[in-house]
Amino acid sequence: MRKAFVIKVENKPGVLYRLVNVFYKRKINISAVNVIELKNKLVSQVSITAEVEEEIAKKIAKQIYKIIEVISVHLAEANK
Amino acid sequence: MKITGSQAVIESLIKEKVRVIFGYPGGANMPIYDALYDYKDRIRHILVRHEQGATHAAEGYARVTGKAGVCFATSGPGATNLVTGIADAMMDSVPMVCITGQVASHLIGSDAFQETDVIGITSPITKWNYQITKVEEIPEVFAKAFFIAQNGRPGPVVIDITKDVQFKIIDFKYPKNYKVKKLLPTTLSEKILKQAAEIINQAKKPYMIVGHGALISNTSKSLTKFIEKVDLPTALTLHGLGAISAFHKNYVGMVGMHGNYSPNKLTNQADVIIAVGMRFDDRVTSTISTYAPKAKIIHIDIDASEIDKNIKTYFGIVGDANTVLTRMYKFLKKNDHSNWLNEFKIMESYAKKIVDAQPKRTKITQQEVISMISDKTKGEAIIVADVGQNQMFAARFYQYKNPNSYITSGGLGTMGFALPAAMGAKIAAPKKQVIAVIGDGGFQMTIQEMGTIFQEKLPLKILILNNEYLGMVRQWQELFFEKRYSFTNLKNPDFITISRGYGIPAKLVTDKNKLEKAVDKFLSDDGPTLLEVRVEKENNIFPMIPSGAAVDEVVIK
Repeated sequence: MRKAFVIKVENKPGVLYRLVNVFYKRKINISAVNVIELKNKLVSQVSITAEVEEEIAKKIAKQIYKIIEVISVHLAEANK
Repeated sequence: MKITGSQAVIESLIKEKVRVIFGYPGGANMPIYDALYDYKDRIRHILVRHEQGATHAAEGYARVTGKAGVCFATSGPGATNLVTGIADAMMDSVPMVCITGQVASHLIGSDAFQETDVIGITSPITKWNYQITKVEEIPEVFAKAFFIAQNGRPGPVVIDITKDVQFKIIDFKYPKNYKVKKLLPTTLSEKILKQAAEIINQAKKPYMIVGHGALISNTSKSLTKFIEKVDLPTALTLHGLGAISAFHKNYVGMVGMHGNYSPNKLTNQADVIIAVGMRFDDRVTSTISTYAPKAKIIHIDIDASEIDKNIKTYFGIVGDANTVLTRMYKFLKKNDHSNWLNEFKIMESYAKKIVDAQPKRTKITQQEVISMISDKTKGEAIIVADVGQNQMFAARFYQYKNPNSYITSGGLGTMGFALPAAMGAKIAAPKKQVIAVIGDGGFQMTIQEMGTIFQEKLPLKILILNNEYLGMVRQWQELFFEKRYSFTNLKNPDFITISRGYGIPAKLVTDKNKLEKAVDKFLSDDGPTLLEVRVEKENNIFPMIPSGAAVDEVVIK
């Protein structure tokens, strides 16, 4: 299933590296990444799309939330 | 207060009540070491012989005190030498703060001398890491690092500081009560605790498995009360040893690949399993599809990502073990599960007979040595075990009476852990007897720390169980690879001479009837001392769950 992880993070160097590591650790290939700075520039929104089973996606979302700079994680079905 | 960045580093450590640093100086952290020179009366620095030793010593220190262990290393090789210990601390939830020097900020990215991307290398194995390139960042980054390392599920943090920052001037002010909100305890609803207690109250065969999280949350008292009220058969994981006394009537043994027989076997008979501060590691569950099929699993863990990670739980409670157990207590019904508890005891004594009845050995066995030390120290010593057979014998045959008294590398399984970790443990608990239990293989991985022990006059006891093999791998080769002993035999140096070369008195025992006298002397000697015991070369640790088997397919011989 194609899943979108919509993640709000502190806008700092190295955070994206930690995020993609969670996927890499499980050998999941990322099909799309998008990073935008939100208005105040203190927060960025990272959207990561990948082909992941529902069960695994939930585990990944929890592991992403453990990253100190992560503010929130939302999991959604992604459009093909 | 206007001070240099280097002084700010040390002042920050003082604010965090750091008493000991394990480290090694080099080009990129020399200003920090220079600042440290003026703080010799307030902070003890232990000069290790290899940075890996610093990390394991910091782990040993942290495991005894519950406070973050601190390491210093220089850039490049200094920092990369920390990697094994950082990964080890990450796997075993050990609070640690490593401070690495880095090349000057204008050189970063230029492949400068002794430059490495420390943040990149350590990101997958740290709870948090940060590179300081501005002197003003120091106070807050340190406060944050210590908070992160020590709160929630503990773990290692790396702070990388460029050399130019170490020279710059800062108006130093340390933040008060710095907190990272997401690591603060979550609120627990009474309703959830009550529901969980109901499940436990109604259980016919409830069973508790307790891990390292219980020790981290310092819950031994509440835990014991909980167990006694419900009359729960209770097993411990490798890292949970000591969470309740091995002499407690409800204690049934250790779970896992080389755990006791009955706690593994009866896992699959339990109707409710209460898992406290443990993470259903594959060494505990063996094959997941056949694990605890009859049980409703109540999983209590501070790390939300552990719930449902490996084992589907019936009920997950995210919270600090001590808080959860203490608050759930009033909802528990006083119960009697003596018949169920007896099943464990009967099965265990059956298994013990078979294990004990194995062919009589003429040489000393590892089991004999550990049992003897356990009896003579009455289960009160701190045992720091390495990895392999020695680790499993030390786990199984020493009767741990107190929390935080069995220290080993569980998750990463790092050979060479014990000698440096024992240094940290001894510094943390100078009045306790600290015994490093090490095989001949692991000893040679961090043997250089003998120099640190000598220089610091650390009065710890080093027990070498020498079977001239990489014993655990050899055991597997015997059982699963048709005895093809591929590169597991070791031609060892004379450990006694080596030890004496380091100024540490040493004794060798080969003869069974001289063992007791040697052990007595080993335990009563002041100062650092080493005892090498030549043990049976091809002795196996049983019971054992072969990989791919179910927990109830545990074999005794």
